[in-house]
Amino acid sequence: MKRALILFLGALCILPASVGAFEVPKKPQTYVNDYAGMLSVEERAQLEQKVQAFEQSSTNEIAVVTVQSLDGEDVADVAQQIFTAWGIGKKDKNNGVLLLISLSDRKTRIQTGYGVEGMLTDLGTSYIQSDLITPAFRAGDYAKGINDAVDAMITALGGKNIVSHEESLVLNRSKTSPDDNFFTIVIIAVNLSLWFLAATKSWWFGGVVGGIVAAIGVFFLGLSMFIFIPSIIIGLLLDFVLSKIGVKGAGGGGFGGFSGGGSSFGGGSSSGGFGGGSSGGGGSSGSW
Amino acid sequence: MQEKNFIQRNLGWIIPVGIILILVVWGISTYNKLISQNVAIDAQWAQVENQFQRRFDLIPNLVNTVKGITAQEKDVFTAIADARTRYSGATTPDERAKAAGQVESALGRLLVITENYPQLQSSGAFRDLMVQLEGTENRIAVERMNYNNQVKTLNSAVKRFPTLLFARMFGVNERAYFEVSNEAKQNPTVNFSN
Repeated sequence: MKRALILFLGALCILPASVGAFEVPKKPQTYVNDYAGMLSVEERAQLEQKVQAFEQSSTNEIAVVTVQSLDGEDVADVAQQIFTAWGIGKKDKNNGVLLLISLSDRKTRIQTGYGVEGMLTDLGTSYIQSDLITPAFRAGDYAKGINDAVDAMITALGGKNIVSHEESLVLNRSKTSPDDNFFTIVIIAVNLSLWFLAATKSWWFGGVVGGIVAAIGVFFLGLSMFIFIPSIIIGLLLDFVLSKIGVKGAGGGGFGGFSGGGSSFGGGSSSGGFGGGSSGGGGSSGSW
Repeated sequence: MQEKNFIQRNLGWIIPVGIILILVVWGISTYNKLISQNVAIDAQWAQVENQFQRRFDLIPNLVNTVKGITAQEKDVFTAIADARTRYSGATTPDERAKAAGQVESALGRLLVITENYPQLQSSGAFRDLMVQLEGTENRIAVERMNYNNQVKTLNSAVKRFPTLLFARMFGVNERAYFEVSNEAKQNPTVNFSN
């Protein structure tokens, strides 16, 4: 243990520059990802169901990942990489936990997100590994070790973190609101400009409107400056077409139908996939 | 027809004014971006110092647990106490980073020493402390990495072409990476005192 820590302190020095040999798998849609094939199909499905049910009731996300090898990297580094790449936990609560198991290295790690460090402490994760995972794994019973560990994590997290369904709905709503605002602005801008463009017979006014829309985008939404060029061109084109056709008073009614669509872009679906949480390196490592 | 005439009459100033407007908007948004990157770096540095503090607070526990058994290893304890005093006396981020490096190397030496004491190895309290210390070191590493990543974002923005002009104009400079000091970089050796 001490040796590991010393190595670790030494490894800290090269950490910022180190480029991982371990390749983080693509972000999956499931919570249990058994890349090393340590579980049977039924065991995997049962565990997935348990973790999913826990996510539904508490919003906490527990990811279980088994890999064949760490490719020579430190287990803590790999766990951090996976955690960051997948975004385990909800984005605004950082309430994710990752149980990483490397089969050939015989190493485990429980990595906690920022938001659960208080409930699932480093010591807690250490005991889960030394008292539950290690004995079961030594006996060759991977499923028992993993299941007991997940149960213990659920107990630690669930006991104190009671998040009502109502609250999670609020979370979802707050997540979608910026998109709603964005779409509202776009819709108003489109309607207004169509109305103006059709009213004026000029060909150039559309370009000005496009420029104004782009300026709004840059200022309020932090969009890139390059939006100016396409925006002005689109404005000019629109005006050209509308002026040619001679649409009068096109506006409100025709495009009102767009407004309903906004909310569906919010994402943040409840089942499958991780919510974008992050970890500050909490947790502990173990071996068997 | 009238609008066209208006445009044709005023083309001379509409185009320059338009270009200037676009440049001003561009400048403001670039400036804001650089400023918020700088603020993010400061915030991230605070995170690093948070974790330093966490380590700092752990040290008395660790020293107390270990001291009873390893009392004769005076040098290490002096080194740890010194580094700790230096850290709490540090006022600038630079000094604090340096002092934190000394704390790190002194701790590393202590850990090497504890390997020679089997009583410690089997102590539950010592083991728990090690877990906490390891967690803290890991957190420091993560926050340090995040800090360096954010500095990298700002520095490459300051160095890249279009933003470079505005950065020069507004006096936004590159920020320093958090390099680990040489002292901390040397792996601790057992024969530190003869």
